[in-house]
Amino acid sequence: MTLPAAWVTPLKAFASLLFLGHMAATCAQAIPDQSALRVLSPPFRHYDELTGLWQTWDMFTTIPYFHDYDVDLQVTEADGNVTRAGALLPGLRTFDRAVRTETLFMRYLYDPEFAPYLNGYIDNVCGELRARRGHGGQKVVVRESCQRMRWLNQIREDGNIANPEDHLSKTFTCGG
Amino acid sequence: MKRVIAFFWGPADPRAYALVRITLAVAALVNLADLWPHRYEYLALGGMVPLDGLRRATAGKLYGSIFYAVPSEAGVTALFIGAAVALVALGLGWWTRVAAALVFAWHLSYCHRAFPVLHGWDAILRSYSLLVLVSPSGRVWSLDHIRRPRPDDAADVPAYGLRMMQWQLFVLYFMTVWLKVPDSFWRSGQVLAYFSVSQYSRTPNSLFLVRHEWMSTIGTYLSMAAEASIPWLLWSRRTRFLGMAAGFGLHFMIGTTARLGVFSICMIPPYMAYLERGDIDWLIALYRRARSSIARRPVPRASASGERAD
Repeated sequence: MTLPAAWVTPLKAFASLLFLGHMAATCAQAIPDQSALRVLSPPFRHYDELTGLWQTWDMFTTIPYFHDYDVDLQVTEADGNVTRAGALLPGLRTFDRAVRTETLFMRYLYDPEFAPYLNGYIDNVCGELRARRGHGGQKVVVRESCQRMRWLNQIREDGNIANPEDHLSKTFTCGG
Repeated sequence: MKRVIAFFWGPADPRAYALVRITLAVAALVNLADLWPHRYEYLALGGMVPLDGLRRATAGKLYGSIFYAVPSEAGVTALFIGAAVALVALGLGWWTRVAAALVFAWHLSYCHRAFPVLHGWDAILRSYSLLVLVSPSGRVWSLDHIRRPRPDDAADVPAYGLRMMQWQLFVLYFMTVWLKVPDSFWRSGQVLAYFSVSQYSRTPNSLFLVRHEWMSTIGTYLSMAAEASIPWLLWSRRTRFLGMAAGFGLHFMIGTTARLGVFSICMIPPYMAYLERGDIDWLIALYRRARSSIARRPVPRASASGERAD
């Protein structure tokens, strides 16, 4: 099928405007919230969501803080007995140090944007505990065991790269 | 307006589109293989990314995903296998447009189901798979071309897809430099030293860069200079291969020293969008010269004749 010659240029012009719109959508989302030009961002929001064009390029905009990172669960039964369980679901498996999984736990525990996920994650943990132990009611804490990096001059002094640090989440109670 | 139309609709070599398509398929396959062992953790109902939490966190947003409708472990495995087949088809150029649509749906779907595990390379795969879907398919290097050749397969095609891909890479590097420049560790040149002993390093117990901080400083500044200059270097034909060398050098370094090999591989397709006819001809000639020089290399008589030397 061939288009009438008179249509070609207007159609190309229209398509070019769409391409320009796509390019604007690519960068408008990066305008900081405080900027007076931030008003240019919302019109493209739904387009970015539908097309998956949303993006942030903030990988390693500063140094990493940890030399090592581990995470598990501290489970306290109603009788006070404390046990450890792996944090990976399904199966309460031991943390495997995958980069994506590290990111997941750091986001769940420190980024307010990801707070809604943490409750659901704990619900799944409680479901696994109930299935394995035959009852609920446990208190669950997500426990991070980190090695926080020291300053370069401190590392050079004694060769010790990091200090151990444990972080505990708030306590969650599994339903009976 | 004429200039704008010429910018988007000017002629481009279809092989550039083919190279983006093929390298994107390879990078996305590597990413899929990296996700495979974790597919139930990130994407299945009993995993670590709860659907109800996802719905609450993304309320009011237009995110779509096939994984919302397919939450079982068997279903997730089936979608992974389907995505792998679509990626192979895209790379080979077999039913290219259908494969590109499926690959775009795959990237959109896993990203919109597993927000908490996403990194920058997922955004690269998402945005470039959309652009590959709406661009000329680079049929000249495809199984579709071998099966049903058309006279115009090797003819010039509109440049609009490449222009949007080039813009995406420009935005990527511009934004990362914009965000890094104010950071005191990037400014002091200590980033590489800290990174080398961090959880992301392949050798976190090596103190080499900590003890030779001047090397970290040079490396940090060179990384920043490369990221700031690559889009500009790639734009001009005269400096394009310098830009390629800087980019590939930077990402090779990241891939070999950090546990982020997938990221480095995903950064290859965007560079292909800058190649023009002369560049591709030059690369093909280089490849042919290398191949013929290997073929001319003297071989042991017994091997050449197929007879046993004894």
